[in-house]
Amino acid sequence: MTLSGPDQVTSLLTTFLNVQSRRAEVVSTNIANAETPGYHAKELDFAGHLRQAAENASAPRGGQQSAQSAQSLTNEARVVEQALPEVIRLDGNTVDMRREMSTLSETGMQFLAGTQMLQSHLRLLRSAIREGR
Amino acid sequence: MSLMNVYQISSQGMSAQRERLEAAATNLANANTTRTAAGGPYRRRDVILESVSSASALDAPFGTEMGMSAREPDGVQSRTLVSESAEGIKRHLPGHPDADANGYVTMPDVDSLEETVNLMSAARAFEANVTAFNTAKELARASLKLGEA
Repeated sequence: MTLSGPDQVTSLLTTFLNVQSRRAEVVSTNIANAETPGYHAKELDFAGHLRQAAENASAPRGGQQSAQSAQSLTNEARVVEQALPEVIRLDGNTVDMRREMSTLSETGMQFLAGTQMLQSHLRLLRSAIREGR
Repeated sequence: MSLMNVYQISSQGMSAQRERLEAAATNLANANTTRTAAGGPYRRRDVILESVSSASALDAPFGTEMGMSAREPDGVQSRTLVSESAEGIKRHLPGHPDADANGYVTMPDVDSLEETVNLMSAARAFEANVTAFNTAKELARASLKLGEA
């Protein structure tokens, strides 16, 4: 753990929290449009995201760079339409409320886990700054 | 700030559902109204919902300056439309003051069963928006606590 320059754990966790809050945003959009005729449910493109991350990780690079690429991935994560369900409602709306609700609570838990981790990391830093006192 | 967008989106969703509730309540209350200021029987209110981009003119340059990617979260917008057809349901009530020469009264085209279903669906959708809003609030509170020991 180095204290010179931006530290990697903090920036990775920040990226994680950003992704989770974007997910929450997409889910809330779906919920707000749950009764809008013709609206197609959306989600973050995680598969494309992961593929890109795996490709980036296979190239040898330093820790600092991987943190930066994670940052750029967050900004590039695209919002795509969910795969169409087998049965579509008569009004053409494809929002599955149960799915949205479970994604919402999952996102919430992930976000809280992220803040817990970030908090304990900051506590470590503070302890180092105060020489363990 | 994505979490701030959640507040905006969810509150748009809540007002849209509230408008649906109002329309259904108005329709139910006026299911037997035969006289209106505009003349004729009451005309049914319908709410249409439309998915819109909620990004304001202010957001775009601000977001670019802050290094955020340009993206437009979708919100929802509602509009109440008054039914244009003057066709009501004809009911044979010869003693009614608004009955025509043949004893028929034109009643509003309101299906109370349909309105009740709308009422329930709007209430459920409102609750879902409240849940999303509360989740965002909890997450924001957790982020604010990061600075504490």
